[in-house]
Amino acid sequence: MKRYLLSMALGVFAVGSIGAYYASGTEGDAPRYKLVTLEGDAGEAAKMRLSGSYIGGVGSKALELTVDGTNYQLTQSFYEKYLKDNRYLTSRYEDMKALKREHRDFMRARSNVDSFYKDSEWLIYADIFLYGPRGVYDWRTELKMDVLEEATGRVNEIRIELNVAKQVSWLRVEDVQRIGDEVHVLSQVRYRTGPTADGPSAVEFRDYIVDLHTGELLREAALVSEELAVSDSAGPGGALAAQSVTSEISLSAISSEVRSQPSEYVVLATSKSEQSVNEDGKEMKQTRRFAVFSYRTGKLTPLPEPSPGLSAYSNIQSELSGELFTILYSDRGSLAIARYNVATGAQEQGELTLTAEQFGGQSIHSVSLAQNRVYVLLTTVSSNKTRISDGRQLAAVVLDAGSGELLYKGEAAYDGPAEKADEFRKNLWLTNVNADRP
Amino acid sequence: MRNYLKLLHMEIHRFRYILFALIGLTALVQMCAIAFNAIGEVNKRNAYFEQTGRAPEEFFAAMSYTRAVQETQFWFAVPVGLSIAVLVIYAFLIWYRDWFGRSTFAYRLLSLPSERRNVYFAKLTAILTFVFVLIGFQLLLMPIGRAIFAMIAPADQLQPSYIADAIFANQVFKILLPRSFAEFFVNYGLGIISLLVLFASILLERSYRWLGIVYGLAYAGFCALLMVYPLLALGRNYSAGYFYTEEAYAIQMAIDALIVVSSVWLGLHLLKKKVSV
Repeated sequence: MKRYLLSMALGVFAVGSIGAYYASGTEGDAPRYKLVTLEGDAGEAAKMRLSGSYIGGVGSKALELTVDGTNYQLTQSFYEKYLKDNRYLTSRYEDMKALKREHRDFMRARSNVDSFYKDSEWLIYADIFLYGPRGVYDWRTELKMDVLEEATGRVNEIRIELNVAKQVSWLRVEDVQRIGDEVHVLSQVRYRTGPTADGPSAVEFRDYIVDLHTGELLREAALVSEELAVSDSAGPGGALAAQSVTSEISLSAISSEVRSQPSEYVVLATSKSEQSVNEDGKEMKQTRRFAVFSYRTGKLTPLPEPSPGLSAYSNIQSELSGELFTILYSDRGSLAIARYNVATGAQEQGELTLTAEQFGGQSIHSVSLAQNRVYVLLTTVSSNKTRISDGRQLAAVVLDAGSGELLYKGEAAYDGPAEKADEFRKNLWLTNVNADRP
Repeated sequence: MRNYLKLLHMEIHRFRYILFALIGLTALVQMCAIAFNAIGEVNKRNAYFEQTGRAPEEFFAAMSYTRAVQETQFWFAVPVGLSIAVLVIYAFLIWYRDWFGRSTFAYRLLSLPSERRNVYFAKLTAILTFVFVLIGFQLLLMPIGRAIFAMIAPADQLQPSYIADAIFANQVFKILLPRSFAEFFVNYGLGIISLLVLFASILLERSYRWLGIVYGLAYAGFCALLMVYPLLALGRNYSAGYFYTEEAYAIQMAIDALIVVSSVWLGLHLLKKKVSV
């Protein structure tokens, strides 16, 4: 036995040292933080995620803070690292996860969350593909729609060659809805209006209406169309001219927040930003217009213009929940909420303006709008940084998007011995607030 | 079992001097690197104090072992890289030294009145033991290095460091000693699979000589292709891939298991039926 001592010692040493290292924990200097409830119901913050970094020691460690505690992305489990479905579609949206569980085969190879429609009878996935070109003018556009009948489990694969006369350079399905036996596939299409690829182009929303049973394309309609203007210069040299105006237009569709839920309406947004350069410097002007499209009536109704004060806000978020369309405007000092009933096209109530001071903060660092709730990351000292240090507390609040009522207020704090609390709090940087999507 | 343990001990015993030399070299290079880094840092602070008359902590950040490991990672990587190179070469030599060493040792080894598979598994276990001993020793060196660093650095200018953070400050250790045990398991699992394929290829060469080289290379290439196929072709990372992530991984695991079983079976079969001295 004695002669095998070396081998045994080496074996025990190897297993012991590696085992001890992993058993003792490998997170190192990664302190735990928690959200301490100061006001309201902690359940309201269950879906809130504050992201940032711990900056103690050498380098920084990315973390996420929730009411459940701190989650570092350092020591992921085997499942998280290797087996978690890293597909955006079935890892982010709860309704998509449920669809994957119920209709595993149907959900294969699906990539666009806006391409789904679901009700108690039908599950539909529609996407438009742009093929080619085999030659310069040989683009081919195909609408592929898979329709699953819940009662029978039968899947009808519909393929429609779209006759797009224009030179399409890009297209994307933005929403799919069923009204009776008609399926509406709302797509955003960008196409060239000039002879060359880098010349003028235009963008439009186009609604393709397909018969649910026969798979026949019944009709199509252009809803919003915008020329994508190129720079408009007063002097020679284009953008380098002494006085010039550059404008950019973008279109977006705001469909129901729960993508797979039926909705008769979709909100179409047109955003135009103009940058003018003159002797006094650069000036940026941004205008946004919203219009409600009813799939049932085919009517496009512009929403009332926001008050001039709201146009000055630098950040904007919006959501459509049922028949309520909410726009959240925010900047460092305050936020404002405007709500509209998409069925009537009227504003629900007066615009609501809330300042950081109203929630015990001095500046707003980050906001997020989800499920009729506004999540706000506040600092108590107006600063570009959100580092917790002496006298510079960080708080997160949850507000009702309709009334502005404070539902929850919490503060990030070190989850450990009190004598170390200040030291560790100084090393926490929180940068963003987000909420889990349905 | 007894025969296997005897053979394993023999393999470890044969490599002991090289193993201890690698351990010694690793300790010497890495500890010197830490010591010189700490001394250099202290000298810099002293020079600042002498030139300005001001306390170094006003200008310099606190001395940190983690930062020292980060700054000396090249010198940490040199003995580690050398150890890896030696072990890769020895994975060949552990077989070939029996044929080309003194007194045609392979003849005696294969004539032992025990199952030949004991020879195979003893060599495999020996290589793995060397790997994990070197890894274990690296883990042991980290707190020793921290103690040396703390002895040199002035106590009032020393920032506490965690061993896990110091390990992660080095790019090489991110692969060799990942923070998660799952990742450790996967990294070394792939290493073990590669070793099994290498053993099968070596035994193909020993069985069929010149033609065996072709067989061995073909087998290794085929296994490598098979292993990377699911990652490249099943669209695990593509949003529109046909297979779900968990299915792609199940296929990957099945392929890995198939390679392990086929390599071990092939190695044992060749050793039992084909290998000649």
